Amino acid sequence: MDLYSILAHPIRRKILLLLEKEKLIHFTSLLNLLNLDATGRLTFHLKKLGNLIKKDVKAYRLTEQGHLAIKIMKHSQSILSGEDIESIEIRRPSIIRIGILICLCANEIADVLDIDSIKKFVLKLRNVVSVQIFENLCQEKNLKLIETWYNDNFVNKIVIAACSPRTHARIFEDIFTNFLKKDVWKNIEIANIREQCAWVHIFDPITATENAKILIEAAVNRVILKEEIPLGEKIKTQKSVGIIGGGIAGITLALALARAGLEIHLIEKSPSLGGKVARWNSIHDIEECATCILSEKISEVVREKNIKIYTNTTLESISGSVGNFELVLKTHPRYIDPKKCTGCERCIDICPIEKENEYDFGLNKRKVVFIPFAHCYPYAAAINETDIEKCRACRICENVCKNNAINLDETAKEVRIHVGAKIIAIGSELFKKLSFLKHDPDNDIITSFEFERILSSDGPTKGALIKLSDGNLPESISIIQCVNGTNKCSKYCCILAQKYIREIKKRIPDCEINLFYDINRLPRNSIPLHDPLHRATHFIEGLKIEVKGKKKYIIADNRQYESEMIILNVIMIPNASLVNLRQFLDFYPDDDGFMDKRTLASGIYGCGSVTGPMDYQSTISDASKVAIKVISLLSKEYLIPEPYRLKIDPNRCGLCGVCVSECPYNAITLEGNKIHIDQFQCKGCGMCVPVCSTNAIDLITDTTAQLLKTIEVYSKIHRSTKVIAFCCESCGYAAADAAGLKKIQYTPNVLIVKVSCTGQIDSEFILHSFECGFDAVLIVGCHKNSCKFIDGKSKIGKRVELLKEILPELKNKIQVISISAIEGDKFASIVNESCKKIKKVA
Amino acid sequence: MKTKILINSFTSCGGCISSIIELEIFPDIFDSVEFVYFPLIKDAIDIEKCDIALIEGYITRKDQIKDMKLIRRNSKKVISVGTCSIFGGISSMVKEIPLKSVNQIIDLDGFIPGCPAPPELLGNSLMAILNGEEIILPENNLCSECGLRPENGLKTKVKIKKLLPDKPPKKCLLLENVLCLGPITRAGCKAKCIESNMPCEGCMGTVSREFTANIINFLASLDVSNDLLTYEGLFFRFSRPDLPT
Repeated sequence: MDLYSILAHPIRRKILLLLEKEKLIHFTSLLNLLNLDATGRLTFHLKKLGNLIKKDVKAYRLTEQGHLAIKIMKHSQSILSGEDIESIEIRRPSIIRIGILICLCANEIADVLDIDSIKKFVLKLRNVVSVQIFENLCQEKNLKLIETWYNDNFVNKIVIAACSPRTHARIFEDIFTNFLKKDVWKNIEIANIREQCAWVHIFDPITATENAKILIEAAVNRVILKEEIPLGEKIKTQKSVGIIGGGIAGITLALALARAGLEIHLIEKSPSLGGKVARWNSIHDIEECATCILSEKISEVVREKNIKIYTNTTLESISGSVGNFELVLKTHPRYIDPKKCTGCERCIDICPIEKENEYDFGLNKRKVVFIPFAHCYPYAAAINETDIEKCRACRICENVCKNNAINLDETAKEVRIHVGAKIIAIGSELFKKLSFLKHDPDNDIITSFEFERILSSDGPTKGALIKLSDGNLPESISIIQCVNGTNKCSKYCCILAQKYIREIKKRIPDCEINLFYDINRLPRNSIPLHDPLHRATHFIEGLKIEVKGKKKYIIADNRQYESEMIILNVIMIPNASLVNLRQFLDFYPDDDGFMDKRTLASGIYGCGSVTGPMDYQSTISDASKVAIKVISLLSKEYLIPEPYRLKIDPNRCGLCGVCVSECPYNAITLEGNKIHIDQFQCKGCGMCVPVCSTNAIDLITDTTAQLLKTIEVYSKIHRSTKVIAFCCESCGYAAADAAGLKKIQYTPNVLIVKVSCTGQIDSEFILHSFECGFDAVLIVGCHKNSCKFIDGKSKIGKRVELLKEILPELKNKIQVISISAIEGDKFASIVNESCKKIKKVA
Repeated sequence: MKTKILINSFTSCGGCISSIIELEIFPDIFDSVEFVYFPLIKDAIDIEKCDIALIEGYITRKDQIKDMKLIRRNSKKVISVGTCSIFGGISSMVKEIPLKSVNQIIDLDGFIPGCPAPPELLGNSLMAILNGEEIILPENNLCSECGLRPENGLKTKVKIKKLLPDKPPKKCLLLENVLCLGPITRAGCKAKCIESNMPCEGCMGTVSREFTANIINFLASLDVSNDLLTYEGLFFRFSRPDLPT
């Protein structure tokens, strides 16, 4: 029979193409693939194909002539109908052929487990075609052997029965990348038979072998369910950064980043750069004038060509994603052109309208047209937008300005900039509700920041430490620490007090200084630093201030301390603008209301006291930390995301948005009718998976289907008591591994399921475990506040609590355990105990 | 030849079967269909051989199990109608009797959820069965049909304080502190309850997972005040999980 008459029949062509795709096909699967019901028909065609195919190990494969025939077939598509060629284009094989590699681990595994019986057992499993045993799988010399085994058996998925994936998953992936290429992710699954069987059940080899069989079977079932992992698109990075906030954090960052070659847009809300540091007298530790340091830094910023400064500017909206954001800025009118203004102050001298000077915290007055402070940038007069109506009615200043810099009819402008990353450094505010301590600057009860202004040489007293009420030197000063509404540590008021004590002693050596810590207000976890040189430190309970005319008394512990000046050392509170920023920047506030850095979306950074109370030194070091992050992000031409960790089926998604609030990293956003995952921000914790009622969202590695299958397979084990333990990858699973490494023996009645975070554990997993016949469920996660994914443990805790409440029969059967990665002995003892408890109940 | 249909109800309120009669297609259906067993409109004699059996209700007695198996044997397709037959429904809240839902006793060829099954879904499904097609149930949750769905999802932690709204809601009920089970409930009823100012109670069951698992996952993600959690009807009104005893 000539080649063309062989190829004339579509079924025969199909057989050849199928064999090319799948390499090796059994008779029955060939029957299924071709949709034939008569075996006779297939036998006939196989016979007709003659020497193009051959039968090998009960299955058919192409011979060399067969490969040639396919080549000819493809060349002469015109003589064939073509339709069947298109329908079976060369895709990846669809028949799953699993190969199992068992590592003996230099007889560590083989000494305990019965490898022959394991081999016999796994060969009977569905889709398993070959089992290969290696002495030491992790050694590179086996690479060649594995590759030939892989190709000879036409394996397309691999299960490795060896040690813990925590220690060796990366090594195995590296080995297999050589011939699996980019499919390595979806084609490998590891059964941990060393740490979970061989090393922990040394004295019970028979049950250990049984456990190993079940673990391998579960891994086989998991690898079958593994799917392709899509790769994200790459994004071209903008080599520029937007910094919101021109305080010390913003300035330091701008300098560091500009010197690294990035283009910087420095955006400040007020008319001048400087922020809070500009108002301080001196900086602790450096003992140098704060304005001097700041003005030096400002002049450096001004000189740097890569920095563009936008004063009087606010952020209106943000669009785009990491690597390429578009910021819409609104530059509010300054009414005085800073390029024309020389700072001659003629307009200030003539201005008839006065108001409180916010730079000096209202301790004195200023004109409506003003220069913020001596070393401000730009050094030009300005008028606030809120005061402009009064100015438009007066217009005296317009006449005196020689350069015609004043334009009272200026309007706001909109600016659009493109940046690769943005940094929020808007700082914090100061605690203001001070009426309970009778705050009154006119009666010398002042805050620490007002005291800074008094000390400062450009302040209301021109640097003289005098009482504001009568201008005399104070004879006694009291400092009250940690002034706040609730028990929160300010993190800096201890060192601030030390600075004040030294400063006062230097200026008025005879002055009596009392330092008060109110124990009731003292934060629980903080240890006050007190100056060993200063003896008059009082830790008292319930502090009160009494004012009798001009005299002020501090009443504490039934004693009365008279003082001429009282300084309230106030704490920092979150910036009020944070609430507005939340509308377009994704982050969550922490318990104190500051920005929680960990929850920021990718490409957005928080720096300085916007993330929590901070002193000067910490702010500077925080700025350099953030700078390194930004530089490493923007140093690449393109951002290439890692493989997706999460997949969304848009057809099933009902857009309810519950996952949006559940994600601890703000990686999921919902806009109109579209759900979007930020591939850079998603850490793959899987906390969104259980709350999705339609299963539209799922992890790519440990999918819900894989975990449910694992539970089912595990439940097949024959034991009088069966316990399933869901262990989070970073703590629980690591603790189980630690028990293995230390060879701490524990009961073989417990089987371990790895989840990425305990927050991923669905109530269904727990219910399904009981349905499958497990006697107890252990949930092993991290200690409080040490969850890798912020709050996964508390989420599963809530679920378990609810479950116990509504199904009281499960009350004693579910246990949530906190453990750290090194506590192998604790893991073993907990597991043993809970198994014993169940036996007792039974 | 006319298609032979058998309709029977077990322990239930009969609401789903009655809504078959209320369907728009019902009068015309007689041209192509013959009801061999339909106690609601004609004398029921014996369970005969039929093409399609529609059943409703929960199984609470032993003789019902016998009938159930007889129906399965005599009919080509068995479709269950309503939440009771498939998830348990209201009748599953009775704890004294050992209860079973229909799908635990026999294999079903399809089901139409709802309490009662929404007329549109019921009509479409019936037509699909008569034409020999499969029933297509929506794979989304109710939010996809809801007019009050917030544009950007639930951005902040939702606090739940009450079960019913005080006044007609203007935005998502969850944002108005009312517990609405829409996010975990299958779509298909066109959010009728929410249109009439009532929160969704989840009668359509869920798309995936058991109802109880879903509601626990959902409530754990919200901030629900404790006095609401003691209300058992919240969890088991339409479904009770099957745990080994």
